[in-house]
Amino acid sequence: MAALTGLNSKAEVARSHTAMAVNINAARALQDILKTNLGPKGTMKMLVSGAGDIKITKDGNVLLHEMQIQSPTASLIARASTAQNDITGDGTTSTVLLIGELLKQAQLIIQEGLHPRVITEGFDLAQAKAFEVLDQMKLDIPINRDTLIQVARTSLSTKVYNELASLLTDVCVDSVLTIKKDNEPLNLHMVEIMEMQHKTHKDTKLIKGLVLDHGARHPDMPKVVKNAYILAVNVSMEYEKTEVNAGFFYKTAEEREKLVQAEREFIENRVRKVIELKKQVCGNDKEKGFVLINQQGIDPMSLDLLAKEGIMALRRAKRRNMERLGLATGSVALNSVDNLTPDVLGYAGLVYEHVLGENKYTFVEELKNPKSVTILIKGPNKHTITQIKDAIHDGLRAVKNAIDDGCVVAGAGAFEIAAHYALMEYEKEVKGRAVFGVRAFAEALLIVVKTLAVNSGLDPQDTLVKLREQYHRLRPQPVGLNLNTGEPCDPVADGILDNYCVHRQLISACTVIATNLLLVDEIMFAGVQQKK
Amino acid sequence: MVKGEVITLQLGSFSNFVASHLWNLQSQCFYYSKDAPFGHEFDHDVYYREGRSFLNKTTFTPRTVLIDLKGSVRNCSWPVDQAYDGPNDDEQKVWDGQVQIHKAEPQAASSKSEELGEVDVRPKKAPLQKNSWAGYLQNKYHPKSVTINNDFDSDNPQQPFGVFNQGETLWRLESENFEDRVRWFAEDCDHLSAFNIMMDTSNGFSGFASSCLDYLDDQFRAKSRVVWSLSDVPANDSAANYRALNTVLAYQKMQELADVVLPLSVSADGLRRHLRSSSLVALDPSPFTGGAALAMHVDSILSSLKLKSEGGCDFVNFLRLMTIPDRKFVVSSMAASPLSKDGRLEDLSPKCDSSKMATSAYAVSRGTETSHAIIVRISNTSAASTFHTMVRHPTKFCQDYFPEISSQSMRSVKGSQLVDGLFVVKNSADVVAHFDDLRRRRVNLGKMHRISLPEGDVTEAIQNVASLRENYLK
Repeated sequence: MAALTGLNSKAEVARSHTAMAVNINAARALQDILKTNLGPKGTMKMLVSGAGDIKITKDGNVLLHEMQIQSPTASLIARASTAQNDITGDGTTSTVLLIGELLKQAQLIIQEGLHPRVITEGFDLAQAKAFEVLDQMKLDIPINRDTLIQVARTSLSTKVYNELASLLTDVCVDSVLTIKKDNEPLNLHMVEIMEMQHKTHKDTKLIKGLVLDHGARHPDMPKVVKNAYILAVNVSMEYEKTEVNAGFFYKTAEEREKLVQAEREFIENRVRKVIELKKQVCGNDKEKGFVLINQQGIDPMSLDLLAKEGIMALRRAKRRNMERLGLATGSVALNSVDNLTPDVLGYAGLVYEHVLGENKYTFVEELKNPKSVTILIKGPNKHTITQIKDAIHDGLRAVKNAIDDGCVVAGAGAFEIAAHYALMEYEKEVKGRAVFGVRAFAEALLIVVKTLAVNSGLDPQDTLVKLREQYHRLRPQPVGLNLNTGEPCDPVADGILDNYCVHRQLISACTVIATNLLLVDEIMFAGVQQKK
Repeated sequence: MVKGEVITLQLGSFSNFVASHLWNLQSQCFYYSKDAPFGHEFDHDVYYREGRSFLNKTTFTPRTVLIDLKGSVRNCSWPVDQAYDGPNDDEQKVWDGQVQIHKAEPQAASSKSEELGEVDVRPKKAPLQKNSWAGYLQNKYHPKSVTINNDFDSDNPQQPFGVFNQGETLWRLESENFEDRVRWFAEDCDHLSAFNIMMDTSNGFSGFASSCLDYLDDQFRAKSRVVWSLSDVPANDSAANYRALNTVLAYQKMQELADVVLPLSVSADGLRRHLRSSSLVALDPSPFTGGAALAMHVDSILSSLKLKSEGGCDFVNFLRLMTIPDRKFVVSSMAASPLSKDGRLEDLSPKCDSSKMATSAYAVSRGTETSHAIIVRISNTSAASTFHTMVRHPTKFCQDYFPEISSQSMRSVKGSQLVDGLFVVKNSADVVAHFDDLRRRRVNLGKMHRISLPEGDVTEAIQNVASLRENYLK
């Protein structure tokens, strides 16, 4: 201590018990904030920024991102929890709760004189055992639509109210099932999420096709195209500043005029090639249409040429949409318009434009075998849309996790009850003082069930006793908590299913963070001025 | 001929301070009646776009995309045009349970103003909030313009956003969103000609801007890129080495991917707190005041590039006049009373002092006609290589913005009024002094533990600055 202050007079030092108290208090403060929004009966948080900006959320991950966290410990925990969300898409709130509870339980024993190192050894043993229990609890039921619906609903019903959750559940599961290809890893980027500030959130829906957030830029272009051939290119169709790039200079106005003319013709040639292809595939058939989607710009003169031929042309498409277009319509994205052949074209039964204020949307629908889809979120205002978007992200991740894991686990606190039971049995085998660590770990796990009960207006002890008795009778069958009645239930029969990887990640992340924080015996605030 | 549209990018907090001043200055040249005091000489559509809100209201907002960090708006109102807000219908809840309300503490008014009883003295006019760029912006932005990142705090003394690689991380987090916004504005343009990039060069945003330049090169290869490389005044001098390294790394990318770079700073070297003494009349080191001074220069140069008349220059021609291959870094100076003493031309580029003869110059005189000979003489160049243009509309000077200016030098100026000025951009070897200053900074990666970059990259960037310097001495 003296050494550090000798080096830096501004440094502040907190030692042993003080250091631990600082860490534990920070962890529990964070826990206090987040615990009320766990589970389907939790509360919403409305965040009002200094500027009066509103954000309503129930998602722990969003909350942690929005809050201004000053305490270094709290921000360490917040980062671990948001990392949990990045990896698995869920479990942020549980991470914060569990870390807080592990530290609280540890503190009780440390106050009685046990060294933190012994506790962390117990934590490690308990963690290994918990993984064992988790593996035994895996439900190897077929991952079909019904299972996925249950998983998605379990996740979504903690984010939005029931009616909306059912709507979003179908949207999420169907979108993933549509884009899923056999023997290939799932790419969630192929589900586009498009926002439209319009109507109400109940109009949120799945479009089995693409929605682009721009439209044709020429008044004479068709607004609806049926039986459309789709050409996707990344070729500039606008007049460029070649004169500067090429570095040659002109002496007279005529020379400049010539140069401009040559450049113009060069661009027009590109457009003509597209028009030729259109004539080749559509001929004089009025029933067939042609849509050009360009990643680069198209200037008004080129648009004019295309409009005369009845081609619908979109410019500056999103880079990722070029890939999606290929998967959705079967088109091949080209970087040049030389040697165009009909087999690079995609096909869509219907392409139409929808105008909302200054925003245009182009829907590409009625596809043969779409492997890319769009979830169209509607809502009257920004914060409703954001809320639904966060929920959909979580729903999609839950579905993806279930497919990737190939299994699910029973939800509604069933894992925590089972792990607690197993750890209490295991405690008898553990030798030495590490047993206190194991017991602390087992107690800490129950925080999830307790919080679920409290948030539903139930008595936590009462509930716990009921659940443990029931599990003792029925084990190894999982026992969960029915939040409406407060009675034990069978989560599998009630369709409450959680992701395996979320639980696994939760246990390992929490143990690591709690262990690290427990072993801290000195905090040095060197150099930085503490905000008072 | 149609003027091409220009998209502005505001990459960083200080850039946003400058830009807010810039848009205020730009919008004071809007006249909605047939006769304007100085004639309708500007084509405002170059930097602004006309839009339509959900309620079918016409809007006119800058064609710009900005990035800043959590908390940068402070307690000012959200800088987005309210015409774009949807109905705030409370019936549309998506949760039927309870709602807890957490309010962030409004930032306390300074205790000094409370002592003086200044709180709510003049309720009719909202006070100018100088601690955030959102506080004095007169016309709000389009909703697509504003990106505020939530992963980094703008004002957290424990984790300052001051290192190049933090900026790169920020780009990874925000790129998809940011790219999409740029693309949205680009899609809206019929003749997109250039990107007008205002960036913070010496703080963490240098990493963000460097990645952003890569993106622009990839997606908008044929569009010109003008970079205003802005250095804020740091809160203290302890991070000068980091600031130098950020600058060096950003310069490497600019040399490669920008068409012209205009370094600007009110501090003497762009790195430390030390303000330039000789030039501008005493400024204070706040980003608000410094930003106001720099914005006068940026505004005048940009205004001269949107003139309707045939004699006016556009972005593409401006580049052709200014750049010589490998000599993309140019020096800026301005003379606008009462900000600069005795009407002398004062340099705004760090470490530059207009002592060397310039190879080419671009001068804008605002308000008054200045003869070519005078411009050539005071900007120290040759007559043949000087392009000079005249903007009839004078620029605006707000006394409120410059509290440090003594009342003596203020005799002619009361409150805010229109002032004349001369604004010059030169391609000259003066900038070598700035490069030399950067090279003198000792970069010891072993000690700068907040930087996590391969040593090779850093060495390469430092060598690049050395070679930049050579280009000017040939």
